[in-house]
Amino acid sequence: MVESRYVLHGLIAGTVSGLVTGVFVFLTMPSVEEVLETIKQYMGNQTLGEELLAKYVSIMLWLSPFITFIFSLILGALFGALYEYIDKKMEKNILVPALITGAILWIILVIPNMVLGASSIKIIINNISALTYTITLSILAIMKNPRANQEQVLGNG
Amino acid sequence: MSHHPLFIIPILTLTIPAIPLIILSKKKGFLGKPLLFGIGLLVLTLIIQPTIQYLPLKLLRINPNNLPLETLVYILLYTALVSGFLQEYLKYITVRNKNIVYALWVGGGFGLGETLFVLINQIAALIMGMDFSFTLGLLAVYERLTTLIYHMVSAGILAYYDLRGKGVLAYVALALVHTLINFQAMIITKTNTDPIPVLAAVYSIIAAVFIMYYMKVISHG
Repeated sequence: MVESRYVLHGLIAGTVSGLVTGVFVFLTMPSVEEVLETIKQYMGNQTLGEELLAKYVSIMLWLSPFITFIFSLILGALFGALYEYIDKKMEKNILVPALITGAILWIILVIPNMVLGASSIKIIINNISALTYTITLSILAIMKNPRANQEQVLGNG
Repeated sequence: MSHHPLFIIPILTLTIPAIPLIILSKKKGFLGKPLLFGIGLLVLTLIIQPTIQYLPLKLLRINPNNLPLETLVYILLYTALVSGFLQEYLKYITVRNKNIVYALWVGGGFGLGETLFVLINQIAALIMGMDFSFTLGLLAVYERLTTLIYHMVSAGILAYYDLRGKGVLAYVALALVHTLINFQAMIITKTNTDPIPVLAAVYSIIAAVFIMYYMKVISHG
């Protein structure tokens, strides 16, 4: 199914970063009351069915580590394609495109949260996510250069 | 209380919008990579889009919940412009120099990703025991189907025109159509009104012109 070794590396790096991030999201999960308070502040005077909302929030909080994991996995594959694009444009040491890909992911994950004034926990978790992704991608690049395997992989598809 | 079995709605939400993808798979073969990329583009959109939408509001210290409709309408238009131009741009750069089947799978992935989010919400609502209108549930299924088809077709059109050197023109046109669709949806959501007939007529005309032109292009090879 995965025709490109770069995308495969991205997928693996996304899986690792998703697992790490998912665990951190689970460990730092806010309470239902805290989330409800934030929602109330945002919604102002609009009436809310508090009991239903609390149930909904608790389900979404329970799901959040899994959603984070799936997000990382899919983003990892997408950034694997970006990794391939950058590598083919630059043709430098394989670590350079891996690091640039990681840096772009960091910009996308961290900068919006900083600009919008997200909680420091969220910013730290996103930093961890981008860092884990970059490190895994770099290790994979060193261990199994995606350029070397490209022809062999494309031969099947 | 609804007398209809509401658990049918999530099943329909998953299966009905999948029909175009199943047909595409049967006719042209399954392509996993662009499908995955399409879902990835949606995830990327969910990260980038809110920042661009809310940044001016944050800088200007505007709370959209406290605004009269006359002012809110401009903010909604800006928000719709951001979503239209950003989403079509992400699709455009992904399908550049690719064939139409690849593009259809990218668009399908994008639409499928959105459908999965709606599905999660519906399942959460059912677990909570929240009662919702069966008809509204069916409408959501219909909306997901048309949205998925829209994303597939728009990605296909982008690839088609890109291969003919008119990708930017197609991108701007589709981004504007997308903006109009989202703008109407936002107004309906914010005002709890029925669809605005004038806008509905505008969309229908745009859609008809697009379809006729597309058919003409196809018939001329």
